[in-house]
Amino acid sequence: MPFARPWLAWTMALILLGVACAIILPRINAYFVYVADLALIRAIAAIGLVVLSGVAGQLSLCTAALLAVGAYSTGMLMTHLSVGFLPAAICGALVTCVIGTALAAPALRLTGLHLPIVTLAFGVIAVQLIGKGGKLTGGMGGLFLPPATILGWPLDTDLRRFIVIIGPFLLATAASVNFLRLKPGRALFALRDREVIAQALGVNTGGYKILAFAYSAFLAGLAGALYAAFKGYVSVDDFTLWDSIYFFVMIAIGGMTSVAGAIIGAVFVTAVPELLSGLAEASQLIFGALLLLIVAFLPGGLASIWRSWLRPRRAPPALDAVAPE
Amino acid sequence: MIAYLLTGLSYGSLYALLGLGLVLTFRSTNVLNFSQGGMSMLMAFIAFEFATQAGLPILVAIAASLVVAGVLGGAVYNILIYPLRNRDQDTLAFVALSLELSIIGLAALIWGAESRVFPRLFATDRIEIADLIISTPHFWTIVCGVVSVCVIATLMRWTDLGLAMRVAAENPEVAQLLGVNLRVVGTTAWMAAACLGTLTGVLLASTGFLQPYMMGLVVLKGFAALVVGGMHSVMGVIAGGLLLGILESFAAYELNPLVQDSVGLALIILVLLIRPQGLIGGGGGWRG
Amino acid sequence: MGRDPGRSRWFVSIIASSAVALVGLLIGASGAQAQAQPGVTDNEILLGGVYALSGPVRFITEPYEQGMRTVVDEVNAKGGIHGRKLKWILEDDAYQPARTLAGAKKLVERDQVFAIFGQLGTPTTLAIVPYVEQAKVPLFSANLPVDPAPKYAFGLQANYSDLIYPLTQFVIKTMPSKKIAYFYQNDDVGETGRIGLARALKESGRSLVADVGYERGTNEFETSVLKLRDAGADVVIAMGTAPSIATAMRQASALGFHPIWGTYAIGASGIMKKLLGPDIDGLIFASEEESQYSDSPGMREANELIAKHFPGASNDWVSMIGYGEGKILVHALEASGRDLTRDKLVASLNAMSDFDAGVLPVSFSPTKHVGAKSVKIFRWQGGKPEPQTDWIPIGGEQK
Repeated sequence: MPFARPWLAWTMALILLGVACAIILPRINAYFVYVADLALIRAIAAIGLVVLSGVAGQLSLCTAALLAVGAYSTGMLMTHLSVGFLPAAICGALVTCVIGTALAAPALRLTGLHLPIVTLAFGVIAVQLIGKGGKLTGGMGGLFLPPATILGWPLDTDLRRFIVIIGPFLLATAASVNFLRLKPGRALFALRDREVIAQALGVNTGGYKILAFAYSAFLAGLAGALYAAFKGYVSVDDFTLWDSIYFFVMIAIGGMTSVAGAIIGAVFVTAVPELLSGLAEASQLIFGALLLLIVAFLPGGLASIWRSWLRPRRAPPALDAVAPE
Repeated sequence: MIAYLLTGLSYGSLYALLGLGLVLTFRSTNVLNFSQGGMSMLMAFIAFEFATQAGLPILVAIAASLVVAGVLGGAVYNILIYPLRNRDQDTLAFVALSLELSIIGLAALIWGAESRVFPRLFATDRIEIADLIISTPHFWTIVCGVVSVCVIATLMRWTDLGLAMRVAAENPEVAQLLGVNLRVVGTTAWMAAACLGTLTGVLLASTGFLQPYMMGLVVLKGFAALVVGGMHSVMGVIAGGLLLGILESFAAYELNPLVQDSVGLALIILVLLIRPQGLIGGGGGWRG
Repeated sequence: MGRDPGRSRWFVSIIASSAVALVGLLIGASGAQAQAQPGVTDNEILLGGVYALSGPVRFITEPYEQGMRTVVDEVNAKGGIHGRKLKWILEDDAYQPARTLAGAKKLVERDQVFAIFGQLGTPTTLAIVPYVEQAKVPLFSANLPVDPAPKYAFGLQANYSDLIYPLTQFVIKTMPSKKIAYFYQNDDVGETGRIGLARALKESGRSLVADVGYERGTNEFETSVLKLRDAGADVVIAMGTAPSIATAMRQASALGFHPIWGTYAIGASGIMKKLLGPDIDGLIFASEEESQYSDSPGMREANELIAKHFPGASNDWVSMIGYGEGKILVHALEASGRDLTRDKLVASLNAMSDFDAGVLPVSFSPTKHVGAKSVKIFRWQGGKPEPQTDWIPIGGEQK
């Protein structure tokens, strides 16, 4: 974890957030809050992807499909079994976690580019299956959810939804930052570039891979569950292959191993198309050009801007720190 | 059954052609060129413009766009890739991906999203050999695939440039010590890839219609072919592409066309699990 | 290696600062926004549209927009409605339901439009229906696949099942010995079409010889076409986009396979004609609009006006839909009078029980919010679609 005193940085950031909200919110409208919600939800999944693909080097191109699993599980529980939002969301995240863990199985055997191809195939197949679900999943027409409530408090304004989303978002951020500072997280760094050496030192690389998949799938599922409840409607058109690629784009421009980068990347990928939407056809071209500029001129991603305000980056931890005692 | 096998061969040749472009750029410059799809589509549009606006006969138009392709391919390498050559593989792949988005965006901006009829390349609609019917564009896709493979494979194996490419990919430092100019090798590879892309785009536009999003999943299938083939092998990517095409057609016909994409990919996964080093060995993925 | 001593400080500071953030949020949120009658000023009515302005679906939304824009510009040229000109702003959703909702909120909350006028696509429309109902904003979309009818959302196009049902009946009646196959795009278009198809088949005791789908966005139809051919299909009922169906038709004829192709209103699409050329002859389709080649005064006017405002535009069935939407909205706005409110607009729309929107007949009521009321079957002959039947009321039996 690059920051010398991360808790201080995060604390200051959050206080700033609170003050900013108090000042800005009365002046903005539901549209802004909606986009912010979308960005935060995606950030949760992007943080998971940073852990899996950035830090642990297990490239996954099925993030959007995992979100779909979380979204549809939650949706189906709420719609068909009248489960409340909170339990449904937790179940959705857990179901996704289980499925994501199953993806770890091929990861144990495959090296290099083979793994992304497998995750790609899984993503395509999973979303297709959801689309064939008929009445259960709403098929290709999508599924409407009953209004979400938490212990009777209805989430019917964008502001309430924002409050509900920000909780898991902060938790996911804090948990991931913490996780990467502790021993299991530091072990994941080794998986990316020095797997063979780590194995030679007796590190249980297989176990850590499974952990990385489980952790990131849980976050993706949680993001999906929040997404479903907050929109009130899910359809497979929100979880295409391109959406998975865009999650990858989020962490790539953010700075592959940085949690802050994931958040910045998610905000970027959500907000910029909205800002460019007035330009219609030119928007994709401009977006692509922006990405090129960022990757060409900011080797550390957008997070490097953030980081340069704080202490310089430490090298990944020494390997003997992760070997079993 | 023969009918859909032929179809599979044809689509497989398309993937193989795309994969050939990918293997060239990967072997020489270590870049996963996600922009190969966009480039192919762009070149098809340029050929279209040469044929319709400039009124050139279609084959001349294609020749002209091959020239443009060479120039563009070389330009992309020298402007975007070469300056960033010391960054890691992920970064370069991401550059290619951003380029792909930009190219598609550019094409949509210039030409709009409507489909256009690509000028007829062939006199006949279909070719009938004995009992077999195959549509002419599909037939020529197979022919182009075969011819391109032979040409590229020969060049790679028997010419100095081909040798230089192979060394440059495996060990750039040694290559430079041996007097190989990495920049020349890279430029040549990217120019060749762009030309192969022209063929790919034109053939795909001939089987259907021309529009900016027509490449769609084909790039990814080209990548699947590359991976299955073993990342570095020309013959491997061809074999991989053909295999994917045939498996897809088999799945589509015997099972359901809807599962075409996913079953094709799933079967590729099976191959990878059984034989992780790919069909024709050599290199398991990013930098071994 | 012991526990990190900073960890407890971590958690405490996280919780404390989260509390501060939440309090700030709640303070900020307590300032409410006052809303006047949105979108209506003394001389202007502000309307907002949200649909694909970019992306692969743009080739459908562009003619749609041209149809609507023609009506808007014409009305403004004649002085507007009760002294107010129409101002029509647009947001892009790139056919992503998440962005449709964002765009709708932007239009309603930030831009304060009077009504949402212009949306195309099933999942995209569905994504914003709950929102417009809750915000009580009238929505006029090209299609409205919602049952029962919501209060504020309106649509124009017939549901695909309501088009394929009479089409299939027509095929069964006029070509009783021919074998029927279904070729469909694997999304809501294909799914909804199947409902009408299945109903007609069941009623006559017939079944399909082949049921072949394809993924939206794919270019590879050859194996699907092979399956249709090998099943011996004489008639193929196809649901999908115009380029996809045209490609399949082309690939089929390249293989020497010439069934009778039948489809929904896209059969009238200028795109089909452009892509297939003379090979379009023989294609049959079911449409809720008149053919753009028909000589009715309403259609002639529509063709003239669209050509006037968008010279060179291909007169497409989607532009007819947009044009029809425009005419309906203008009529409803006029009927609502100078003292314009959202509820009055809804009431005026609900009262249009029998209206000629120039290019198609429509009817609305409090329980019927999908305008299309009848269907005609056409066949392309000699480069023009010729009607094969009279108007068939939607849901009714074919005479």
